Amino acid sequence: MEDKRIVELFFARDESALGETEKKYGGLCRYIASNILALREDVEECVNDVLLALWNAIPPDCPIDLRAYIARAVRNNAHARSRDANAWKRGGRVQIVGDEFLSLLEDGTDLASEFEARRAGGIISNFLEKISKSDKKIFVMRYWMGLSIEQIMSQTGYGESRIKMSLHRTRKKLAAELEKEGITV
Amino acid sequence: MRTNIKPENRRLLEALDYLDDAVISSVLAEVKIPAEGSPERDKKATRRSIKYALALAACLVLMSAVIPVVSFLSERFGAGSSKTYELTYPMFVAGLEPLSEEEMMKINEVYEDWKYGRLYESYVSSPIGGSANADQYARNELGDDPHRFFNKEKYNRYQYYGKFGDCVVLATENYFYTLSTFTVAGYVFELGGTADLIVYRNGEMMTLNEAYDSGLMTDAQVAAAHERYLAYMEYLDSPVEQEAEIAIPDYTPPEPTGEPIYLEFMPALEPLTREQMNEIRKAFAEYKFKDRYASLYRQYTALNELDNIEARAYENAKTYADKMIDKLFSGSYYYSRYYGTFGDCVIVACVDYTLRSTEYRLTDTSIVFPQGAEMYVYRDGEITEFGEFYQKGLISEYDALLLSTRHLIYETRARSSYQEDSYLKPIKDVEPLTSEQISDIRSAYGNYVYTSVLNEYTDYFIAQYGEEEGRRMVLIKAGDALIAAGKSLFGDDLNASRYYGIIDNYVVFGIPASMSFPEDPLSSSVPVYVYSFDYKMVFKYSPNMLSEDGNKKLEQRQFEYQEYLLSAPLESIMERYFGKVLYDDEHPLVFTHQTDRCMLICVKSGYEELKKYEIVGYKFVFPYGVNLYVGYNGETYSLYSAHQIGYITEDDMAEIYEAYLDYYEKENR
Repeated sequence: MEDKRIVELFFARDESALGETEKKYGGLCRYIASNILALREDVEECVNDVLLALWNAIPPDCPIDLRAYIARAVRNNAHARSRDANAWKRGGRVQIVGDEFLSLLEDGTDLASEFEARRAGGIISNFLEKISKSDKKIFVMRYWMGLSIEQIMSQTGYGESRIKMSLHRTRKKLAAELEKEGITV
Repeated sequence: MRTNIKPENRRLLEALDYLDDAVISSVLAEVKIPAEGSPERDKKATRRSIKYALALAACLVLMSAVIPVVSFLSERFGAGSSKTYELTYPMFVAGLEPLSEEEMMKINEVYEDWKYGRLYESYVSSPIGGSANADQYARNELGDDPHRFFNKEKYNRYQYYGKFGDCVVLATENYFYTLSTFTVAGYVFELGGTADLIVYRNGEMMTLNEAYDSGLMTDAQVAAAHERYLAYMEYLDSPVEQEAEIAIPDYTPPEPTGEPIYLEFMPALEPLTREQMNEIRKAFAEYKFKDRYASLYRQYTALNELDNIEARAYENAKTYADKMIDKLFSGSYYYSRYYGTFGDCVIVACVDYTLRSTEYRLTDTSIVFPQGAEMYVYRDGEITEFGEFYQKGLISEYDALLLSTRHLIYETRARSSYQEDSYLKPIKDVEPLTSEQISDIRSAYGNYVYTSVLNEYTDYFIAQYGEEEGRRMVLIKAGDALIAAGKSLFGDDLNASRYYGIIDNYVVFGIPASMSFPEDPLSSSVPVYVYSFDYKMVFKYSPNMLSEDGNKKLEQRQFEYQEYLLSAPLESIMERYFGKVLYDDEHPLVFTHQTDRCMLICVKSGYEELKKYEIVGYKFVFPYGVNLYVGYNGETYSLYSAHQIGYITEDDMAEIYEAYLDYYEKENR
């Protein structure tokens, strides 16, 4: 089912939206979560909670890119779980309020560093769009999805040396780019 | 997250929380989800497997105590090829640092990997490439033999410049009509074809430039490698056996007899006069004479039995060259192609259909003749073979790209086949077109679109990307648009183009605004175009082009066409609008409605309970669950989305609601 149809189902409060989302993106969600969380039970719980969080977030949220929206939610959720399971479970469920759903920030977040991180994120996105597709893919798989070198080899078919050289070159170029923008990493 | 990421990358990871959706989505789209139970998914199973493998390996090592460990390791971890060959490096270059056999084997293995990655990437990012065939392309280019270096039989295909610290410096060579030039630390290396100038270090491969830029090699080391490169050049260029120069006799080509034809379907070709074309034909005949004479002379000399070698060679070469006089500009693009004038050079090709594919590799792309051909350049009264010309850098990269675009147009036209007459079905007694006419009209329409794209987008792309890149991109866009435009005309898809017949000696046709140029996806109109037989060009229609009767005829035929589209079986109508049929026994149709450009269908969803919907102020009530779909241009949307985008207007909504009320009345009688 097309993404826009799935979003329509959410808007129509049609519960088949969850089934369709699970069918289309369940595998991807589990894959992302399993690279962050060690236990299968945690992975399943993470994915289920994200699906429920979607139901509460859409509407009013109307994601343009559903895949990225869900993947980001799963990643953030899994990270939060791995950081501190107790801090995450406020009354048993995550409170969803617009953009805050995606950041899952803990109390007392340093807004200055959050701003810097957002800015850096934008610069990195622009940078990634300028490099080759394969280098971008390897970089995102390694640092955003958290895949190991072996997993990236399996995904891309590239050899280990090629992947490592790509990461090395990309990090070097990225560091130069961020430094140019006045951001240190 | 498994944190084998170094701490200095931690802040980078925080910034990654804010990556753009587009970046994430583009990568996730290509992620392969491993199956349940596969080693990647089952982490515990993977850990167990590794433990068992290590245990087994340990046992094998113990068991092989009677076998030399070195031979076991070389067998277990060797290059993997059963072919044996002598590992060596050329001894004609003095002072080369020796390498162990294991090092030489490892270099070949690592190079294979590295080269595959680069070939794959170059294919994916090339204008005519893509990820679908990239693997095949890379494997074909690599070939079957993985032993490229230190193979005595291939000493002229690679160069070894020595070991500097832990950096092994190498180069590969081939001879495809081009030179690759590398400048490292001010030293210039020129190698034949698509060469690599590389450094192997500790299991990794990189270019010499990368090694130098990252400080792994010093100026002095690069200088020493360059000295050895020069030694290679001296050795390879040294005469072994020079062939005696052959004296070519004079030859006067005949006057061309066939009328040279200037092919008009190619957009923006620089025109040539009749005299110029005949001059080029004569130069071509002379070129062929010299080439054939020299070849025959050598053959006859080698036979050592013939008398009057010069006379025989001359007669045969003259007969052959005289026949070549009419080959160029013959009017048949199957055999002779004119690619235009670039500066003071005219580029032509002869397609010979030997079925041995010919490829000219340029920097950014290739020109491929799947059927076999030769390309030539005419300049200052002389003909030169194109590969040699390109190798000398006598054509700019922009011109080379323009050349390759024109080649693609030629190839597409040569391969386009006559379409079935489905385009004739909608209107009774409409005048049929011959296949030749269809080809001409498609080409003319393609030209029209090509020129329109250039006119419309050139300034924009230059403003966005700069002069060079902007021109390159607009050229690619125009080429793609031309090919797509030609293909869609008079095809099977009656929604993609409409044929209204021959009216007042014009071929009149329509292209929906969503597909014509400039595209207007929200328009329901079908702009009309005319093709002039006299000018062999396409123009946008205006009423003053046709007589009063002609305009009436056009109007009548537009109406007939529309009626035909509306009267077709529901399944075929649905295919046109939605790209598929959306109802079946489990999801039966409730009602349908067609607007000017879209189709709405209402199908049961399978939930048997009262359903109420409110969409942009209109209230729908159904005794069972339904889905309301809108089809537009082969895509499916919800009614809500279609309205949001603008495919369904307020007037359309009013019509749809009327259709719903009709259904409601019938259901509740």
